[in-house]
Amino acid sequence: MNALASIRARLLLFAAVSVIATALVALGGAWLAQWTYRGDAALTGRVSDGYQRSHAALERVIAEQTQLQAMLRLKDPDEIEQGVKRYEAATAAVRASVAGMVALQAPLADVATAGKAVLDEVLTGNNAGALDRYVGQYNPKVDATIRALHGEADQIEHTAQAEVAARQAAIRKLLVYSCAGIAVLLVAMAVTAWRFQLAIERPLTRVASQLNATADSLTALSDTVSASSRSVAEGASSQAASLEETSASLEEISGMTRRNSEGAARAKTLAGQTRAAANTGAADMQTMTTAMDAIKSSSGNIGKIIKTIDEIAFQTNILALNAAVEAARAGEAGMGFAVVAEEARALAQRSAQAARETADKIADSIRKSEDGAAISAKVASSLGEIVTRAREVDELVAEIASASNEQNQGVSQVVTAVTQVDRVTQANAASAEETAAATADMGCEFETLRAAVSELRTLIGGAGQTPVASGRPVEPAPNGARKKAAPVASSLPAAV
Amino acid sequence: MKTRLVSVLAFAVLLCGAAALRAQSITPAVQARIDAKVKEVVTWAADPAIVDAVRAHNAPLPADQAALNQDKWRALSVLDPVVRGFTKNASGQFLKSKKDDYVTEAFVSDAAGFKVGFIAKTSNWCHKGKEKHDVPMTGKAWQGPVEVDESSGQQQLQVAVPVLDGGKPIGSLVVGLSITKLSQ
Repeated sequence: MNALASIRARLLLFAAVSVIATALVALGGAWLAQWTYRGDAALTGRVSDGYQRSHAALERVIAEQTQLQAMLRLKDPDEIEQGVKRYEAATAAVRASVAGMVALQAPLADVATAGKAVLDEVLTGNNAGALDRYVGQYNPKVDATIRALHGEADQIEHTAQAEVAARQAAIRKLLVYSCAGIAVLLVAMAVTAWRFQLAIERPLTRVASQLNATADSLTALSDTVSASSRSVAEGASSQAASLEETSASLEEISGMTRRNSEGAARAKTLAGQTRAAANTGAADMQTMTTAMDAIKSSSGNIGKIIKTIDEIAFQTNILALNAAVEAARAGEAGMGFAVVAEEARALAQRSAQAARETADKIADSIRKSEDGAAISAKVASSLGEIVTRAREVDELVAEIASASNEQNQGVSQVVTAVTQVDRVTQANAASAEETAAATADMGCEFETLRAAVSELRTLIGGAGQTPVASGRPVEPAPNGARKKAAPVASSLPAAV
Repeated sequence: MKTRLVSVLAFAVLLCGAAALRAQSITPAVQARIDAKVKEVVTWAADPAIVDAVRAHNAPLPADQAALNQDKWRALSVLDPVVRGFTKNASGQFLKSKKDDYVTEAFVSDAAGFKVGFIAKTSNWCHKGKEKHDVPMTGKAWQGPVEVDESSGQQQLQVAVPVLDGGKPIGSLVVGLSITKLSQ
């Protein structure tokens, strides 16, 4: 850390020194360029100003000459007066334009003298004499002045050339000094950079080695974690499959339980109906017993009636006998009666016979009615037993239905719980797979880290100094790590 | 400089030669124009501004003018107040109003030949004894020869008419006409 801090500080120091040196060189160059520019501009300005003044003076001298020449033709005093003013103004302009030009003062004085002579001639009205003086005296002085102006311009040019030569010599000297200074600066920076390179190479190499070793270890650990994650994922997958089967079985159980519950409900309903039917049967049986008793009673009454009929038939028979006796007694007259009596007797006998048979049958009927009543009583008793049992069955079926419902709910809860367990197991499997994928990515990152380390080594001293492992350089380490990680990997399914 | 001098001299010689050539040959057309101008000048000479000035000038001269002679006159600047007085008086202003491209100069003299008024300063203070004054003082018009003005190079001639006061000459009016312009 201290080495890195030192490297950072040195880097900053080196960069700062480099920037300052570059800035100084740039400022020096800029100053030199500015100085040269200003000097050139000043020189150009002076030369230009000198030329401009020379040209302006020349123009004004020519203007003065032109003005004086124009006055040669003037005769009108008003025009001459105006011309004199213009000439004097032109003369003043010439004097102003050559102020400071020493070489021009004498020629201009001659021009002024000659011009005054010409003007005097004009003012005296001697225009012809003025023309002579103009041509013979004034113009030669003007030509001399123009030559002096040209000489002034030449002098300006010579001075400027001398200044340019001196400036170029100074610039050459400055450039030599600047190049020497820059060369010394470059050498100093190169030496500093070399020493700095030596100073940072060792700690960086050490750091690179540590990074490489760490990357190898991390790669091994990553392999181990990856294997464990794969095992976890596989276990979770099989667990999820088992849970799915369990869930399917539970679904079936739940279905069966639901059907049992529904059967119990239907049995309860049927038991209720059975109990109701048994109750109805018992009531009907009671009614039947009552009816049987009524039949028995009616049979007794019928027996009495039959006995009455039998007594009547017996009486009728006696009467018939009595009639036959009487008829016999009556003889012939009674013959027919005897026949009727016979018939009556026969009827009485048959009635008696029929009454007896009826009585027998009624007696039999009564007996059977009694039997029927007894059987009915038994049946009623049985029906009551059936009703009792049906009620018990009903209660039992209700209990069964209730238990089936509770069982159904319990199974549903179990199914829900198993589904949650299945979801959690699948999430665990996905997480394990993601962990495995992340571990694989981590391996790629380690490869990138290893490549970066290799690049760092190349940067700090060339790849040939320390062999950099490429790909999977430290295979034994992952094995060792895997040995340590194995129990974890095997324990995971057990834990799951 | 020498080249310029030579060229100027050659130009002057050429002008002089051309003037001499033209002076000998005033065409009738030009002469007719001169005559017309003379008639116009006669009307100028009859203008009250001229007549009154000459009449007044024929009285005794003011002291400054009485002291003038030819040498003093020549020495006077055209801007001298005495000289400017001749251009600014009524006759001078009248003559200036008549100046155009045809009229190059004009001056009026009194009976003694002394200047009364002019456009530009004359060479002589007194023209008595010269034809341009003496002929008009006889009541006649006068026409001089064609000359070349050396300062301008123009051909010109002078005509002179009398200034009449009641039909009697009291002065002269001399006018310079540009032959160059009249010939165009």
